[in-house]
Amino acid sequence: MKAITEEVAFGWWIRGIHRWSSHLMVAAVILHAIRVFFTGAYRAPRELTWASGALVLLVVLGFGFTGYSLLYEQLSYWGATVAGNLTEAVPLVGPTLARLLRGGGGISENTVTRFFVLHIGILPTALFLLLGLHLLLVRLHGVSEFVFRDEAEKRERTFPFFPDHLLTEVGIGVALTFLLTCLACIFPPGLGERADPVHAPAHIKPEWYFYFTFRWLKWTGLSFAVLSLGLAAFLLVAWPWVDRLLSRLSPKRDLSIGIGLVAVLALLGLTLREALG
Amino acid sequence: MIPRQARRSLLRWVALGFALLASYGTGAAYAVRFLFPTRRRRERRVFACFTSSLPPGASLKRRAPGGREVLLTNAAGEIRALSNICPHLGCTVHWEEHESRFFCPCHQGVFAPDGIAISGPPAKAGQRLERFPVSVEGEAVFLHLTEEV
Repeated sequence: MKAITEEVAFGWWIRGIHRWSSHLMVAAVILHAIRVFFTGAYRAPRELTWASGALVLLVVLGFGFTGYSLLYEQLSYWGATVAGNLTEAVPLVGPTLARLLRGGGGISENTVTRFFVLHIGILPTALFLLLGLHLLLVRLHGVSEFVFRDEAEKRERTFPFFPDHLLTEVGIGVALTFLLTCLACIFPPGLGERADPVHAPAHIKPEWYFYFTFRWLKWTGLSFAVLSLGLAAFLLVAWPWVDRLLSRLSPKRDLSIGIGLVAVLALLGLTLREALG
Repeated sequence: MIPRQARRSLLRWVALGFALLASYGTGAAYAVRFLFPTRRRRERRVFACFTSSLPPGASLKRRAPGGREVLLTNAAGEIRALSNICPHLGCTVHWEEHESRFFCPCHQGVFAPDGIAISGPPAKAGQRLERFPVSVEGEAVFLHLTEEV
């Protein structure tokens, strides 16, 4: 990592773009999920589109975690230690899963190899398949458009792939590369303290997108934290079907909006609480 | 009497079955061994210090084989050895002299000098720092550690 950053020609730039795009990717997927949720775009016939998108969010978080674990800094080492022990606390399959993840009983060079394989092989394949399915479903069902009650129904708008769509995409790509280059130049990625398996640093925090789990783990017992986070992930993926059940229970009120609002505020609250110390 | 053709066919299938079982079985056995390597536990007796260097009220830090840190204390003649690994999620705790407590920086677990959790997630789960058996032989203090090899 040091060689990539300091010796390879433009290595610092590639690393900076990689690091900053990972942050923007997580933020973009979270914001997209929130937009889709609050506009009700996950409802029939787009349930599977939502489920595949929610799985993409989990895979993207997996990318983030395995990515920063590969640096083998203090944060990487202790983050991986916590994640391994958290996995071990999963009922029934936990110990086997943790052993598979770590490549042994504790964090070692085997763990780095496994995280590398996850980061460059398994997760990209999963992302490719899930994103493929997601885009296919978007093509099949069309993009949901937000229509206000007093607004006349819009007629279907289409435009050619070439040059309209392609040029827009290229434009966004160039703008993003410029933005990422600016970020990589202004805030270049450094290298933290080297992993020390004997001493956890006095102040340790994961990346911002795991702040909520970090704070949750401080506030709750381990078993409850593991089960509640697992349940939250399950509800995230299965929300279209949960929503259908809720609308049957309460046909007049849209309970999903209220629950979604509470969930977003809770996530934001936990994240801010952790960020502020 | 089974016709010769049918016997040949049966033999061919049996041979094919054995060949498949042998090849894929070997592959599967290696895969299982790779995924679930054999674990053995080994007991080790490690010299920690002499009793003269650990009078009542004193404490010492020792690095055990494998890198684990062990804190030895002498509380009114009773020698204790505590692990510095937090039982919550495996981070290492720090001894805070001014507060007389162990503190885990990961999820803010707090432990009393005897290793019992008094605050944070480990206290909620009723956990404590692992205590290693200690034996005193003459003037020498030994730690008894179990390692996974």
